[in-house]
Amino acid sequence: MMRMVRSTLALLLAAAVLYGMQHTRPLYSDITSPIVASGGMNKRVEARAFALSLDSARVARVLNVETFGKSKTYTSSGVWVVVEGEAEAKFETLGLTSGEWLSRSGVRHVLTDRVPATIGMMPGDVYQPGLPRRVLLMFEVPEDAVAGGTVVVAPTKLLPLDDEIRIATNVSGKDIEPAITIRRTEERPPWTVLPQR
Amino acid sequence: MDSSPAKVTSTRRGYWLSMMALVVALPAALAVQTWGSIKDWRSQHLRQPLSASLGQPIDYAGANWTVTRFTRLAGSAGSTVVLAEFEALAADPKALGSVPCEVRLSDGSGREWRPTLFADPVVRKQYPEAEQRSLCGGMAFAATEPGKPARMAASFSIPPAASGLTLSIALYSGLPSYLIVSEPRT
Repeated sequence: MMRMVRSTLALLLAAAVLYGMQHTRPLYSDITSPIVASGGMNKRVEARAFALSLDSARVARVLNVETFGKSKTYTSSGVWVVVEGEAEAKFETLGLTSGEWLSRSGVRHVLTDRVPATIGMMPGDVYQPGLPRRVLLMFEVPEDAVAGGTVVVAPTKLLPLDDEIRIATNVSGKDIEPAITIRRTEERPPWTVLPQR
Repeated sequence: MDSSPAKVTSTRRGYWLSMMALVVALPAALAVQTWGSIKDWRSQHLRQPLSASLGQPIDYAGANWTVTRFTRLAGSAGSTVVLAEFEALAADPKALGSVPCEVRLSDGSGREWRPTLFADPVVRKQYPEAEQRSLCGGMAFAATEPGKPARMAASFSIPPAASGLTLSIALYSGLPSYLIVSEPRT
């Protein structure tokens, strides 16, 4: 009799454990999600393979791009967010190909592909260990996605368990400039954001 | 139900034999399943360096390799450019034409640089011939006639303070062995 009770209890326990495991099992996307390092503006945030600091985040209704004397105006039904900072590879040469603007509501906006890559934006650059270089990120987002937005940068979105840096910006969403000009230069960094602040 | 001592002994023996077989079969199944991954990991991580010095020829991956130049130049924006030139004499250069090749520069603290896609202006100015050379493998071998060396070059952008530099050349057909040449001491 006792043996039967013991077997039944063991069976119930096993069923309870399996039920618990089934309902607490993380999704594959959770298991392989990026390893995140977070920080704020004007601070060097360190991930395993690279470091990033952002020192400027500006919002404008119109974006002008001047490349070698030619000027082009980009309008939008939303606004333009222009972010500048500095990135550095820590141990080996790498590219930072993924940049996103994560709104407070959780919507992700990838880097704009409307502006020509000749400006030297982040995805086209290679970062060498020990040689920090300026980064320029431009996003086209709805106006209500600006306040409390976070910049998310990663070497790639394709590799599981890769590094990701999240920097919370101090953009309020109220301080929107009428226009910002990005001027291509021959110096380093190869751009200037005007009007200068 | 037959519960004679002979039957019980036979059942127990079968049980323990199965358990022992499991101890062998389980790791064997895992090893067979993951052998490809283990081989890939070994070729990526357990590499065996073949050391040579600047100007010293060394046989590697079916060719005779010589690093002919390993020099530092003052690059732009406060960086230092390292220019490495090397050549390989292969009996059958075309056979090496399709083999991927990897060139890296590392320093004493374990940092690793890949060659720059476009040479720094200082290379263009001081060593225009090196700028025209292929990086490594591929085109360099494919365009070379038998009996003539394939000439290659790589330039790296590094911080001026980096020390203990080592150039490494790895042809995928030669892995896990790879070639290393240290920066000559001045």
